[in-house]
Order: sequence, then C-alpha cells, then structure tokens
Amino acid sequence: MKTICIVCPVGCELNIKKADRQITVTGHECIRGRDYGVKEYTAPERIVTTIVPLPDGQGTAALKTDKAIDKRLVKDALLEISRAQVSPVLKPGYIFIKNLLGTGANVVVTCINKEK
Amino acid sequence: MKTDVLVIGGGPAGIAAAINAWIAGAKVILIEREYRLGGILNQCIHNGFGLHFFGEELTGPEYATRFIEMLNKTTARVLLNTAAVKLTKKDKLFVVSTSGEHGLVDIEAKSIVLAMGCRERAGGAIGLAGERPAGVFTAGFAQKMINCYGKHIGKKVVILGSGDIGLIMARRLKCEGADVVGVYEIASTSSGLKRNISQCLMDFNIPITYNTTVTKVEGKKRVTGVWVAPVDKNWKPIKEKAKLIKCDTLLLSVGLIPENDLVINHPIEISPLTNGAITDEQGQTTMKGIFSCGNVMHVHDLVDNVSHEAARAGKHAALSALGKLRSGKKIPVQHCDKIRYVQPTSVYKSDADTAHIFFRVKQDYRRAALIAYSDGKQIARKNCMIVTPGEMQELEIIKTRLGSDLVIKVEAF
Repeated sequence: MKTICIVCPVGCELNIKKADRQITVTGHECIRGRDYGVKEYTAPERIVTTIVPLPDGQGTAALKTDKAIDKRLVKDALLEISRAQVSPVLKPGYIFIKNLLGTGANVVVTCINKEK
Repeated sequence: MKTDVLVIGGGPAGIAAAINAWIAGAKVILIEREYRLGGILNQCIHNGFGLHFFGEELTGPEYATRFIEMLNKTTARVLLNTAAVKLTKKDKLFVVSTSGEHGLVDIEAKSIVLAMGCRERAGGAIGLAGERPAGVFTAGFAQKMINCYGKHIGKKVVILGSGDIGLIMARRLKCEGADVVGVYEIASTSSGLKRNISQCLMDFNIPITYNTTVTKVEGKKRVTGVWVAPVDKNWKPIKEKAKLIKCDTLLLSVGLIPENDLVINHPIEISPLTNGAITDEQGQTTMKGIFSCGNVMHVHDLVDNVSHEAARAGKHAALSALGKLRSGKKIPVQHCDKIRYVQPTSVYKSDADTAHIFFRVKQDYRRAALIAYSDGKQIARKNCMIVTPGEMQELEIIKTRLGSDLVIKVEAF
C-alpha cells in the first residue's frame, strides 16, 4: 500500500507491506511516519463531514461524526446519513444519528444553514 | 451613526478584531454583508480548524461559533446584511457609506479595520477559452451551493487547480455522489496541503495530473467537456497533445485575490506580492487610522493565524481611536531572497513584548533554519525539516533582544 504521511509538512511517501505478519513501512524520515503508516495499514480512521437538506428544502444542516470511524465505513456512513429522516427542529449540537453503524460514533449537527 | 472603531467584514478576522477592539475599551460597530457572521467558515463544513487556537479539531462553523459567542458577550454592535460602499475622509474621521437594512447609512469612525477577506479568481482571470455555458464554477462558490444551499451542481466534474479548496471540493463532490474525473494542475506540485492530497484525493481514488491545464470549455447551454493539455516549462499548453474530456461541470481552484476595492483610491500602499495592504506590527496600513487583517491583507492557510493577527489589529485600532496608540522607533523587517514576502513589514522597538513575523518562502527548502537576526546576532530561530511556499511560517521576536535592525533569513542546518 502506498500513502503520503500527513503527520508533518515533509509529506513522506510511504510504502507499506505485510509479510509473515510483520508490517514494514519504508520511505519515512522519522519514527512518527512509521507509526502513521502502520495505523493507516491496520486501522485507518476518518472523521466524516457532510450535509443533509432541511425538510422544507430551504437550506441544510451540516453534520460530522463526533469521532473518527473506520475508513472502510465512510461510504456506508454517507449512505446511512442520507437515508435518515431530517427533523425540522435541528440545532447545532443535536445528535442526528446515535451510534452510527455500530461504530460508537454519533453524527452531530455543527451548523444550520438557513436564511431567515 | 458614530463609533470609535468600525470593522468591515464579519468573518474570522472581523470577529476577532471587533472582540479585541471592544476589550481595549473602544465603542465598536461591525458590518457584514451576509445575513450572518462567520464568513467563509460557514461553508467549510470539514474538520481541521482550530488545532492551534483551541487545541482541538473543529469544523468551520464550529470555529466561527466559538468566536461569535465571544463577540456576543461584548457590546460591540453588529449590522448584518450591510455592505460597505464607499470610504471617505471628513476632517479626522473616516466615513463609510453602507447599504443595508436601513437603506444608505453613513457611519463615522475614528479608526477602521479592514477585514473583507478575499474572492476567487474566475475563468476570465486565467483566460479560459470557449463558450460561456452553465456548469463552470469557482470551487468556493460550488462549496457554498452544495453545503449551504443543498444544491447539486453537476454529475461529472473536472477540477482545475489543486489549491486546498479544489481538493476539499473533490472529496465533497464524490461524497455527494458525483463522478470526479480528475484534478489538473498547471504547476509540477500542488499548492494544497499534503493532508488534503492524501485524504481528499487518494482516499477516494481521484487522479491528479500535474503540468497540465484546461485550455478550452466545450458546450453551448451546459458544459459538455473540457480540453486538457500538458504545458511546457513556461506553462504554455502543448496544443497537439490536447485531449477532450467529457464532463458537465468544471470547477476552478486557481487562486484568491484580497478584496481591497474599498480602499483602492486611498493612499494605502498595496503589496504587489500579496495584493493586500502593507502593515506594521500593529496592523496599521500606510494610512493612519486604517488597519488591515486576515485574508484581505494576505491569504492565509490557517484560520488560527487569522484570529491572532486580527486580534492585534483590532486592539491597536481601538488604541488609535482612543488616542492611546504608542509607536516609537519603527524598524523595517528585511528578508533574504529565499523569502517571497514578510508581513508585517515593520516592527516597533518598544511597543508590546513580542512581535510575530509571518512569511512565505519562494520554494521548498529541506533542513531549513528560519532565523531572525538583529545587529548580526540571532534573536529567534526555528529549525524545520522542510518549509514549503504553501505553508505560512512564523517567528516570534522578543523585543528586549531587538537591536537597531531586523533581518529574516532561511539558512541550511
């Protein structure tokens, strides 16, 4: 697997391989790059942010997961969020979906975009 | 209407300036042309803001909300849906003609903080050939359409330019179900953060092609495709190698321009490098009583830096209005030729305990020491594994160490 280390601005191009249950990272200039590479290989996680349209079609609610979830679930997470019923009384801080896809992360409202 | 300090613009710069002008004891009015405060932060729904200022990762609207809540605790007056139309001078006062909910209203102020932010370069600025069909958007406008209005802007998208907004939008469009054909960048590297190349493009298998640009847009009513061609060393497209890519949407992420139209006819020196006003350490422009901060002064990559910079400008605008501004001996900030620009361009020997010098380098430098010299002695230093033009650098100068001059240099270590 190839990726770019994002720990610092150097942006080392990492090459990550697994052989005999041993993960080896090459291309990193410091120890933090190796740790990042191993994490990206074994359990990459991302915070998901998106929007849902408000029920009246006038604006949106901006959403985020309150913690990072398994990267492989991002697509399913977006689908789950788009299928959810949108309450007309959403406010910033409201939990939109509890325990998203069993990840333990909640989807919370960060902003309501609606011109009064 | 009369006030001590008038802040123009209610984005992150304007809000921080207004809060700090109020804390410094001034009567403050802030005008914002949109229906709410927060500026561009409102449409930046992704996370990654506030790591430096709050020590946590917030989304754009959350970062804005923190500051709006602070502003709400002050007695600064906020006028929404109000645009600054004209700036004039009457005796010692500034008069800003505004257009807003109460019609045309003149606001008289003892000092002004410019916090209008920047706007996007559009197709005209890059000489894009072809018809003018629907489907060509600047990346930031597309971001607003999608995130704030919930509109779908297209199904098959080509992105020109790999600045951070372009990269962020590549991911957003993919998440919204669009097919992002690819990102094309005329330069040999991206000006965007590595983090965004990784998490916006690689995570979603969106290809990026360097040394390549869009030469022409096809389509009469709606975009039907774009011609892309590799460029030579002088960024001139090699027309024989151009190929047509079918798409219905073209996003432009080709640079930002500080929105200084309001002051264009005033004796305010604008830097040809930043397109923003030249300011001293206190944020004051070359026109006494007018201060500048945030993206209208120079385009930032981190909002956290904007907040700090604007806080200083707001405070000093208040002190200026109240007749308490200390100045003293001004020392110009010089720099070596590896640095493209520094901001501020001058510091005061005695005012404040520290000064913060922001600058951008001209190209990538590995193992670079960023050093401030005064009277030939090192007075501040930072060793970096790498410095890049895309990342603003900062050095803190402790005033007691400051001698008769100040020179910022990039050296190998």
